[in-house]
Amino acid sequence: MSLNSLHIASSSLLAAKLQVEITSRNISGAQDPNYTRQQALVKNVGPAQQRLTNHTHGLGVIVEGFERTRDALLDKAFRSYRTEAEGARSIDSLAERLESTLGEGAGLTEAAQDVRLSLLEVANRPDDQALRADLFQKMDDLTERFRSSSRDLSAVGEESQERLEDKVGEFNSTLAQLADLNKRMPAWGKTSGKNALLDERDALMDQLSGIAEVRFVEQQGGAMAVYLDGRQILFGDHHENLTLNSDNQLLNEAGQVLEVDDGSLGALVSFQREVLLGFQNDLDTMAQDLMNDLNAVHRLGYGLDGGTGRDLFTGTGAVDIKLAITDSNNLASAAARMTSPARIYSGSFSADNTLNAQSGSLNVAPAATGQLNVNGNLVSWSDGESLAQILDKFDGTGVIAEFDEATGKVILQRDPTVPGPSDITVSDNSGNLSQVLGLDTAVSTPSIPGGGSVLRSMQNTLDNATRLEDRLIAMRTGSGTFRRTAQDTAARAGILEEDAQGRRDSVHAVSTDEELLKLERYQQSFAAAARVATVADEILNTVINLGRN
Amino acid sequence: MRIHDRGVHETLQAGIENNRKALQKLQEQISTGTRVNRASDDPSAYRQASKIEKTVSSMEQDRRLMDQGKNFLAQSDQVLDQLTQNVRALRSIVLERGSDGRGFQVADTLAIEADRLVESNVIQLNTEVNGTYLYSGNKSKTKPFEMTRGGGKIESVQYNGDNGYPPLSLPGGGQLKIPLNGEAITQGSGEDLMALGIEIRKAISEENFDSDAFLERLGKVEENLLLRRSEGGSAGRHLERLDESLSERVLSLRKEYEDLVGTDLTEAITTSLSVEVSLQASMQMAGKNAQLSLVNYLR
Repeated sequence: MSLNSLHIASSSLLAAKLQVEITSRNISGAQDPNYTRQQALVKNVGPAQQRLTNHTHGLGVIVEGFERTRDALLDKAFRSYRTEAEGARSIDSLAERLESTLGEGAGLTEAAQDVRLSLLEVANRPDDQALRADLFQKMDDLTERFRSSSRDLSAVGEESQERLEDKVGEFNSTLAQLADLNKRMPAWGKTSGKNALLDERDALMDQLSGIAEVRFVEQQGGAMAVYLDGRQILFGDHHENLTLNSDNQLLNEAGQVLEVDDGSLGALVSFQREVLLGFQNDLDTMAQDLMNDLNAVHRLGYGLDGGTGRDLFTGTGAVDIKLAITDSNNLASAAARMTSPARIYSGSFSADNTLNAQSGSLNVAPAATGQLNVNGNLVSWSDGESLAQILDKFDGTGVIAEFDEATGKVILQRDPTVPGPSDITVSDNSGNLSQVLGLDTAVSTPSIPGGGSVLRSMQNTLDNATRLEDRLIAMRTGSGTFRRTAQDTAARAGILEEDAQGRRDSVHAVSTDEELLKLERYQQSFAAAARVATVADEILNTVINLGRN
Repeated sequence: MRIHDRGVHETLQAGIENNRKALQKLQEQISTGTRVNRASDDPSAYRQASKIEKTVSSMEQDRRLMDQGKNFLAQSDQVLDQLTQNVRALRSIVLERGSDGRGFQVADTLAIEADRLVESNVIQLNTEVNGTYLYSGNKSKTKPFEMTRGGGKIESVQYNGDNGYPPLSLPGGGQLKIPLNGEAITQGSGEDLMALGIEIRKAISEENFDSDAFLERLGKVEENLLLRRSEGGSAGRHLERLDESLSERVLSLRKEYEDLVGTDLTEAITTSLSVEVSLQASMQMAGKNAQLSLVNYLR
């Protein structure tokens, strides 16, 4: 009985010692986020039959091993949230970069406003060289702002590309480490050192889950298989080395495309393909519209050198937009015009009275009705209409018709805002209105410098057709909205991740208080076992001494 | 749920971090006076504020251009006033020369005076401000009137400008088109102010001086000048009204902008104090928590 007691006490002492050891290991790993708390698996030994009393009793306890307290379901849930959170964080950091790139610093809005003011100043003084030089400089500055914004967006693209490539590298490296663990794992059998490897493996699996949504399958023998987009990429100690093709698609070693929508990899790819490209396209479209709209107006105008039909800007988009002219004198300011060579009336004449009523005042008496062809558009009239009513009918023909009260002349001027040929062609289909108005059929080049109507039209086009400033505001707001959404998504995903981590940690993380209490218990247990051993020893001594006596 | 060491620390750390972030944001709002410092702070307010900024900027530009127009009109009015006085002086010369008394005896003196008045008209109409001529139409850098002299007298005056409109900008890029160039001022009545002055000067020395005809023609010239002054005055008033209206609109938009993105300092400071207290509480909790371990209890 006493020998058994000694054996039992000895096993208890050993078990308590190992439990203290595992507790100390837990306490030392309390601050390690990858450490999983462990507990000793203690098992009763026996039963054995007592020879003299025919009773059965246990033979004490043995420590079968050290178990990690881990919940696979919580691990799975955490990794799923981690995939989402890492993706959101990747987007958030790039969204911040994007917003600062497109923010006030880009200076495009200010440059556009400067051009607007300068256009109007030159329109007031079309022959002022200093003002022209200033406008030229401001337009050049606007193009430079477009180019620099385009470069900045490209830099954001390059940065996200670098991050993407780094992430693929990190993914491959993590896979390689998992493959290495798969190789090392069996050699550790059921030893306590295996738990450290399992912790390492769990940390690597967490890391991999942040990069892409992967599936883990533990195989017989403990090796971990990893699947991405339904394809196995880790086989025992061999792993696929993933690469990116020119379209940023992820390929396995067989060249098959693996679709990745989630995690930081998926986020970076979607940022490049959808978000960044969208902003780059917007900027390009704005630059192209600016070029097309203002070139169309500019081509209709005449510069100080008398030249016409010239483009103001050249380039394919924001990346290379620049001024097409090199001399500020070539900036078109005056529009082609046709002026009646003489007064259209000989005496008193009112633009608001009917032509018929005033026919005596006109140089040529009007026919009853008639029709003009103005740049291919028909303008019909009757002598029952006033001159003002007839001139209103030129709206939409691409020609502005005005009656100048001071000089008593009708002026037809090309409307630069309406696309079409720069010439004005007027022909009488019937009637004699062109004679009544005193119009020739030839287009006259404006006297240089002429008025600044083309510059005013350019300003009007910028404000109302190209709507550059409005679109810049929309683009900046768009980047702000995107960042705000990214921030909110990252914050929400972070909370869910934290919550999942909290639930997981509540199972596997260490509480030092709990461990200290266990330590107390094991200490007591050890003391009790020691006491049993002492008592058994005393009993044995008594028995031995009894025999001697 | 099991409580573990890292969880407690992480919760406390998150609390401190969140409070610090909130405090940083509030301090930024208080120091800049603006609640929306970037689009992501409040995209909707940012868009509205940017549109207001854009509108205000355009309006300020329009006001600046209208100021230039008002300056032009003020200077022009002085010139037109002087021209009117010159025409009236010419009228006096014509009357004196046409009078029955001693007009013919002082003809030479009157002719010299008439020549001086024509020269004065040319000088007035060649008024230049900051290197820009007022009355040369679009050719603002071209001296509008050139005199040709013969025997010390002005023989002719040539207009070198064009019939372009003056720099009177309207809001939105429009232009107030009033004929206020050298051509309209001197020839708008059908009579040429300069040619008439020279003609009068020449006629003074002649025995048959038809003062009535000259007076009638001078009347037309004066009427034209008064019309130009009146148009200029109307334009000036129109610009003034537009400027006042824009000024009010700018003020109103600025207020709207301020309401939209400005920091409510009272609210921001109160919130900031509350967040500070919260931060201090989080830090104190962290400190106390460090003491609440069994390790300390068992020691």
